[in-house]
Order: sequence, then C-alpha cells, then structure tokens
Amino acid sequence: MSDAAETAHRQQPEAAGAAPGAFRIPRRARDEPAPLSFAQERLWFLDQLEPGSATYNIPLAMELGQVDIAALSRSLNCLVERHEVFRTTIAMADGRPVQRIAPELDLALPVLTCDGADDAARRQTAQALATEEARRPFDLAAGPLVRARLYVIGEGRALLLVVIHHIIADAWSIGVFTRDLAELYREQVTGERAQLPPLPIHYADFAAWQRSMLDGGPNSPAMRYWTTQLAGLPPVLELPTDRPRGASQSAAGGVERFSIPAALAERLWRIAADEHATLFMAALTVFALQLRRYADQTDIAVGTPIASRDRAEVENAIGLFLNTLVLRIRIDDRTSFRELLRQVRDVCVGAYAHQDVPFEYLVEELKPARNLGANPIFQILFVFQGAGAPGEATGDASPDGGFDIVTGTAKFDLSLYLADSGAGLAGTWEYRAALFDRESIARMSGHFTTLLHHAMAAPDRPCSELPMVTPAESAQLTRWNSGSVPQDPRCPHQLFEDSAERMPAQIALLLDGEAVRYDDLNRRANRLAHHLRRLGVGPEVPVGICVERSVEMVVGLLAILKAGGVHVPLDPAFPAERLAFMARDVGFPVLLTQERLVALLPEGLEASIFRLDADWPAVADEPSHNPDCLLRPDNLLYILYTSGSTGRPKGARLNQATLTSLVHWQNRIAPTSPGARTLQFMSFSFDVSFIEIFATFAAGGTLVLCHEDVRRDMAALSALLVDARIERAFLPFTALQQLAHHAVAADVGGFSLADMISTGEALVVTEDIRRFFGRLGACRLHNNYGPTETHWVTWYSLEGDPRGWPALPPIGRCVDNARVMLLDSMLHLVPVGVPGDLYAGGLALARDYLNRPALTAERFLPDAHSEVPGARLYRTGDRARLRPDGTIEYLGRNDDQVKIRGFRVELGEIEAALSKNPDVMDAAVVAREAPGGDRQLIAYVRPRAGVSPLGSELRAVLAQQLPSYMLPGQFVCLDAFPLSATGKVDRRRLPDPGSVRPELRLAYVAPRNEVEEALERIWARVLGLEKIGVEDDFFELGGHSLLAMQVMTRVRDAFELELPVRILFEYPTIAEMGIALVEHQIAALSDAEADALLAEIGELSDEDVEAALREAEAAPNE
Amino acid sequence: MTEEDDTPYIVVVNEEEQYSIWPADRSLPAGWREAGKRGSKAECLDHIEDVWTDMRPLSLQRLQQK
Repeated sequence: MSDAAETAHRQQPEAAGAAPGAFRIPRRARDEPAPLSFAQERLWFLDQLEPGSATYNIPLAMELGQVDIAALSRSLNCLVERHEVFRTTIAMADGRPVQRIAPELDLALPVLTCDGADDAARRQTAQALATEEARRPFDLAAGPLVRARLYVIGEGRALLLVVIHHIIADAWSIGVFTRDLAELYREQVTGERAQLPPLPIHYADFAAWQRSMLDGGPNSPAMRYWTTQLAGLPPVLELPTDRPRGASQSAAGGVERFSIPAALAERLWRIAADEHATLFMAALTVFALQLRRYADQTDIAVGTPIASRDRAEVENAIGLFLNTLVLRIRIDDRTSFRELLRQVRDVCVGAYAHQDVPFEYLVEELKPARNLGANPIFQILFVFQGAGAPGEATGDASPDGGFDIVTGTAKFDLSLYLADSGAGLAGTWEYRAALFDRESIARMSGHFTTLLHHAMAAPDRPCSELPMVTPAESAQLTRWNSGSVPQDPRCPHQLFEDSAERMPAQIALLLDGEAVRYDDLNRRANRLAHHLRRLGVGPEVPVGICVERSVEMVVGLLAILKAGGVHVPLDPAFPAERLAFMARDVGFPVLLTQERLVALLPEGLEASIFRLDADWPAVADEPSHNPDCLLRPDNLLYILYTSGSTGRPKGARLNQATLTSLVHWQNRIAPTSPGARTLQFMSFSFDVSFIEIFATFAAGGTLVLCHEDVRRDMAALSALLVDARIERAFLPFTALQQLAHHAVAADVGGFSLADMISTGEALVVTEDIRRFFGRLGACRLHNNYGPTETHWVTWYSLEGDPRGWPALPPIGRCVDNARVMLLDSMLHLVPVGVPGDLYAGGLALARDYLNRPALTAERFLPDAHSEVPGARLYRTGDRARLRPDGTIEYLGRNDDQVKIRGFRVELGEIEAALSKNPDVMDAAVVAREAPGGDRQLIAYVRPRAGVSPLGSELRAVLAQQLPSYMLPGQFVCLDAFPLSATGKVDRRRLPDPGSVRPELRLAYVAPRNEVEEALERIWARVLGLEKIGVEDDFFELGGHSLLAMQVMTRVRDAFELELPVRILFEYPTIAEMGIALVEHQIAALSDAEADALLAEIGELSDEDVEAALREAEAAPNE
Repeated sequence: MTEEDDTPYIVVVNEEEQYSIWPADRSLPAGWREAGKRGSKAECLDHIEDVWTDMRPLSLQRLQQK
C-alpha cells in the first residue's frame, strides 16, 4: 500500500493549486522591529496564560554511536549561527510582543553520564533524564529557546536530546535540523565544507510578510472563503468526557495507541482512489462519523496541521511555518460513506487552496463565541503522517524507535494521529487527561476500527446503518440491560390474598391509631368486589376511583382488582376540568367515591356512582370470600394520567404482570417482614403508591397511611416516622430533602428507618441528606428510576458511611425483567461513556396510551436489539450514559437541553453545581427568552435559613466549576419553590425574574466607583469603544486574547498589581473584575493598609465591599 | 429520532397488531412487518391514528372473542 498511499497523500499540495508560491517573500529591513507571526503570537499568549508549561516543547531524541563531543558541540553552534530563530527571544515593545534576534548565542552542550548496572539500566536512566529535561519549561523572554543535552550511555553509545520551543520550530523544521546538523558535524569531523542550501530568508522575514499580506483585512478573497465556510459553526464539538470541562484547561495529557490491519487499510485506500481522494480524506471521513456519533452533532469541525512549506524560499528554514486548517464536515446520516467521502474531499481541497490565512488570524477575525475551557473553532485535531513525508507531524514522537520522549501534555481535547506503518495504519490518540480516562480512549480505538470495518463492507449504504460498538461491547451491553428472572403468574391482589390467608390477624393498615387486620380488610374488599362484578366489572373494564386518603381508598383499590377491573385513580385535588376530561377519555361504567367528594365530581358523568362510606350498607350482605380471579398477567392493572407536552393528559395503561414482578423485586432489594411498617406517602395517582401498597401486603407488613396535612408538614411527618416506627419509606427527592433538612435542623432522633427509596425526581445527595442518614445509622438510600410508562426500570443503592456517597448517584442497573437501552439518534447502541437516549422496555413496558394510537406509535418503538421478535421500547426522553461498571448515570431530560450562545447546556448540571454551595438548599435553573431574542439562564435558589447569598457570590463560586456560558445571568432567591401535584418543582410556575429583581436585568450600567472607572478607561482604549457598561462581557464586545493581554498589561500598570491574564477570562465584566481587583489588593496588603484602602474606595456600595471581603476570605491562596 | 427530522418513515406493525414507525432506509427489526404506508413522520403517525382502531394486543382480542 505504501507507495500508492504516499502518492495519494501527496496530492494535497497539488490540490492547493497555484495560489501559494506565486510571489516571493521579501527580506525585511533589518532596522525594523520584527513582529511575531500569528502562530507565534498565539503561542506567546498561551505561555502568558499558563507560564511554566511544557505543552509546546518539542523534544528531539537522537541515538548516537561513537561521537566526538567537542565537534558535536561546535556543529550545534554552527547551526545556531545559520538559523536566526535559535538566537531569537520574545520581547515587549509598545505593549506588543516582538522578536528580538541576538547577533550571537553560545549554546551549551552539557554531557551527563548515565548510571546503571547494565546497558538496559543506563538506557532507562537516559530515558528518564531526557523525559524530565523535555518537560522543563522555557522562558520565552530570557531564552535561549533551544536546549541540548548529551547522555552518555556506554562505550560508543550516547543519546542526544535537543528540546526546542514550538514558537521557533515545527515538525518540518526537525527534518531540516537533523539534516543540517549531520552535515555540519561532518564538516567539523572531516574538515570538508558542509553542503547546505542557501537560506534566502529567515523566519522573521516570513512573519513580517505574513503581517503585510493580511493588511487587506477581512476583505481579502482568502478571508472571504473562510467566513463563508465557517458561518454558523457550533462553538464546541461536545465530546462526552469522563469529567466535566472545568473553567480552564489543563494541558496534562495522555497517549494511547492502536493499529489498523493492512487489509482494512488497503480497502480504505482503494475507496479513496475510486473517489479521487487521499487516504487522509478517507480516514478523516471515518473519524468524522465517529465524532458525529460521540457528540451527537452533525456539524463537525476538526483541525489539521499543514506544513506550509511549498514556497521554495522557506523550504530550508527552521521556524514555525506550520498552519492549522479547519475542516468543517456536515453529515447527513442518510448519505452513504462514499458520498460523504466525496464531500470531505471537496472540503479539504477548498481548505488547501486557502491555506495562507493563519488559523490565529481566523480566530481573531471570526470572533467565535469562546470560553477558557475550550479551544476556539475546533477542539479535535486530526493528523495524517504519510510514509516518509515530513511536515504533518507535530513532533512529539521521536524519529527513531529506541527512545520515546513525550512531554505528557495535550494541546487539544483529543488528537488522532494516523501514520502508514507499512503493515496497515498506526493510530495514536493524544488526549487531555483532565477530560478523559485512558479506558475511554482505548474504547475509541475499537469504535474507529469497527466503523471503518462496516463502512468498507457497505460503502453505499446510509451512514446511519453503520454500527460503531464492537461485537464484544454489544454483547456486554445486552447482558447489562437484561434482568430476567422467572415470573410469578399471579396478580398483585392475589399476593395480598395470600398474606390474608397466612396471617389473618396481622395488621394491614394503620391510620390515626385505627388498625385494620388482614382478614378484615380482605373481607371488606371481597364484598365490594362481588358487588362490582354484579355491576359488570371484569377484565379490561375501567373503574374510576375518586377518594381521599383513607381506609376506604385501599378497600376500593383491592375490590377493583379483585373484580378484575382496571384501576383509574382520579385525584380529588385535580381541577374539575381535568377530572371531566379523564372521565370522558376512559368512559368507566362505575365510579367509586366518598360522600363528601360527590359535589366535586364533574357534571354529566354517565358512570354509576358508589359511595364507599354512605353506600356501604348495600354491600354488607355480599359474600366475603375471595372472588375467582379472571385475570391473565397481560390484562390491564391501571390507567395513570401524566401531563402531555401538548397540554392534553395521556393515560398510560399498564399490565398486571409488571407490578407483580416489581413487587417481588422490591421486597428482595429492600425487604420487609410481617408486621414491619411501611409509610404510604405517594399520591394514589402516582405509580409508586402501588409499590408501597402491594410490596407491603405481599410481605404481610403494615402500611401506615397519613393525611394530606401530615405529608406537607415535615415536623408532623418526621414525628409520624418516629412514633409509628416506620422502617421503609418512598419519597420524591424534594420531600426527602425537606425531611432531612428538618430532622437535622430540629435535631429529631429515634427513627427506625432501614430503607429509604428516593424516586420520581433526580436524587442529589445534599449535605442535609448526608447528615440525616449519618444519624439514621444503617438506613440505606435507594435511587429508583422509571417513567410512568414503565414504572421502575433501574435502581441504585447507597449503603455505608453517607459521607462517602456521591452527590449525584447513578440510577444504577436494570430491575428484574425490565430492559434499558441507551441509543443514539439513529437507534444504535451507544458505547460506555457516551450519552444516549434512554429507552425502557421488557416486562415493565406499558401496553399503550389510552385512545392515542399515534402518540403510542411515536413513543413505543420497535426494539431492534431484542431477541424477542416484535418487542417494543418506550422512548423516555431522558438522557443517560453507562459507566464502565455497567451502572447508568442519569443526565437529565432531553428538553432540559438548551442552547446558550450556541453552546448546548444541560440545566441539571448547573442545578447540581449550585446545590453543592453550602448556602443553597436547592436550585432550579430555567432558560428564558431575553428581550434581545437570546436565551438567558435564570437560577432560582432556595437559600439555607438565615443566609441570603448574593447573585454575584453564587456566580463567583459557580465560575470556579462551570464554563462561562453555563453561568446564569440572573439569580432569584425564593423561600419556597412552587410544587406540582406530585411534589416536583413546577418550573412553569417559577416567578418571572423581572417582577422579582428588575434591577438585575442586563442593561447599560455606568461605572460606580473609581476602580470601575479606571477599568472602563482601559477597556475603552483597548477595544476602541466610547462607552462600556460595567456588566458588559469583554469577549462579546469583540475582545480577544491579544486584546486581553493589552488590557491586563495596562491594568497591572494602573493598579500596580501582579495579576494573571486568566483573571479577565474568569471575570469578563468590569463589575466582576473590579471586585477581583479589590480582592487582590486586599490580599496583598497588611490589615492597616487594607482598612485604609477600604476607606479610599468608599464609593463602592456596602454590598460590594462585603462581597469583596467575603470572596477575599474564601480565596486566600489566589 | 429527533422531533424535527425529515427522515422518511414507514408504518410497521408486529404480530400483536401493535403499530409503530421506523426509518424507511433501515432494515426492519425482527418481528415487524411493513404496514403499507411510507411518508414523513407526521404522515405515518396520522395514518396510524386512522387504522389502529382496536389497540388491544391481538392475543387478547382473540381471547375475548372466545
């Protein structure tokens, strides 16, 4: 393959056409200051941002035989004399960086003898020393920007290490360096004159020419191409990461290698040749498909380095000529691989033809929305190293096999290097270790190869059909997703009857001190059941029941099921309109209710009404034995209504078998025993109430009922839990949090709880919950998950010391006989770590939505991954991902995903971050349309009693955890959140922030004190604007990194403070930066001086001063 | 399957006479057959609203007819 591949790869420069090289680069006048090239300027800026980093060190290791050390040292210095760049340092002139070229520089060559018992040990020492040296940072201002070391390994064997800063060299330069050095060394040893090509220009000439060429600004044709090409590109390619992206990037990196067999590479090359494309383009097509799947994004940008050495005058120079091209690929899943390859080819050819525009200039001109946590425009690098062709590598790997010196850093989130190994393709991933684990990257290798394999097998099928997970992964995912155990054919009410038979005298129900025995409850229910049978109730016949919490409620429920009917709860608290709709929708022939509720029932009901209290004498003479069971496991059990997105409630219909299986499972996970108490907390129109009731009855336990007022009063509820010695309770997270808060604050003790099941809302282990469970002793906390359409499908149990519990526990694994699949938008299995849509099925699955065929068909989809023919899966609308251990992590609702300034944001993530704040009890974040049409994030916060956190404080703490686009624009403190009927936060009823704190709206805010005034003057001068509001975002005003440097230089001078540049990224408004500045000033002063300063800045509002002081105390190490 | 997709779908039905939709260019999952309608998602769902009149699974329908 090699020759052909090389040929194909080398089409690149030809494809670029005649644009470069058409005119010559002139030498600059030697008395002019030498500007930095755009690429240099970026590296210089990054160095200012993160001084002392080795990210841009290029190590070059050469294993030598017999060497003349003196001659080697002289030849290195000849090289320094030949290439100006080695004598270059970066200095400041008029607030801008310039290249300063020293007339001469003496490069030392320290010689180190490596210790070790044998050759292998000495080699190891050399490797270790060289790696350490390679990671030592450069000082760009002091120089030199090149270092050399010679490690003597043994007789006639040594390792030469040269480390060069990227700001003066690129990968091509390494080839030039090696050739020049060999030739100069030969001259030193033999005395023959070195044969080196003339150097018509030096790097500084190129940099000056590049600047002059772009004087035309954005109107140059090359720039117009890029403006069009990149319009509307999403700001971030959101690869799923193992850890959240922080507020800033750390450069620590890792490397992972894989290989692609020759036969597969050969097929890739063939299809490339068929489509007049290069192997680079074909491999990029596969990579783009992989990224499309990982990020669930169809608009992808990757960067690729290009040598930019096609002009003769720079061919033999050393310097940073390398440019980066942005390749934007838009993927329609319906197109074939072959068609996508053609599109990728056209994108590449277009980019090559416009390669003269430096990437750094593109960033400046396009002003993409940016934050410090991600590289602008693209975050993923793709590099193809063709056989024998220098120029595309960035130079981390050593040119020979013996020594592998890596700097341990990553320049991008993820880079994929592919090289022709002669026996297929050698792949290397370089990844940011702050974001990814090694295992996740290793899985990427398998996914790349699997996609490639399938694409080669079916290049003309739609891309949507190509699987990405490996067969082994697929088998494991299926194993994790099935929880099959033998099924009990009985119906839930039969489990109750069984307990009544075995332990008739046991207490089944407790309410207000009234105890109802199992046999008594069974007889009452039987009498009513026989009566219902007489009224025509049987399998598949719905029976409405509208009652308050009472013993009658349980009698009615049991009677409906015993008669064989379908239970349809109508919550008396619902508005009459909604009840009327449900009654019409279901059309039940019988309605059970209570005397006092009859007046609330909707008018025009055609059902026959039975009052469980007033009409009871009518059934008193009915037989008390169990009626025959007429039901099959696949007959309906209940119809539960949930709100629909269109506003019309939808009735999910579940089968008997679903509940029977769940009851057995629940009693295995959180067992209860005869007589042990379980709280009945959940609303009867919520599916969990069926578990409370039947899991208790199946075990012969006692169900403790409570009235509505007790449910809502945490003091009363905790008293009930203690006094009734309740051992098992099911609570929605919000109620659990309130209970925990109360119990901790009021110091309530004496609980008997052994199992607490949190469900219905995403569980957050708050500080209150941690402390509450700390007092409970051995009480376990279970996180059960499942929508109404399936009841529960997964669970996770927290045990042991609550201090070790994660704040956001996973939702865990499949419950018995349920099925959970995480699928992408093309319904493929997503691999471990990649977010997908959560689909649920198996025995848990509802039959349908009553009277809603289209809605049922839309949400209940064919399960293409099931071994059961014709099986369906319910699309939950939740997003989740698998952890490597097979547990599922809940990520939030699909519709919680909003776009802010083009970034995709999960509101749940912001809420979780806010909830970690010790001042915050809980939080809800919503996105609202702002007046300008933009969406704005609004955080609603319930503060802990006695504290009233400022929005600016909350924001400052959040800013340490989240990227700027995820920071809410407004914070609203509320004493209580509006709750829905089921006890969840009702987001739609959160107050409009405008009516709460109108003064927080983003508008022009003039500087309010001397600090802000000084900052405004600096910003205005640098940005070229007349007026700047103190709430305006620097980067939205057109600020970019270089301007940020200029601002910070002036700020340092004006305030006489040593401040890092990153402060502007973290506090991008004048108001925030003002506070940060005061904080720094105070931190730098003695107490007396601080008091004086505070007096001086008396124009700050009291609030601001207080906030600044608090922040200063909170961050003494800044 | 995003809400706004313009993928062509087909109407499919399983052995229990339960209807659903499936991307037209993808191979059919086991146990499902085409039910004679192809079009946009909305068109397919409208068709299902018309033809799926008895939502009981077929095995249950048969049992209740006995």
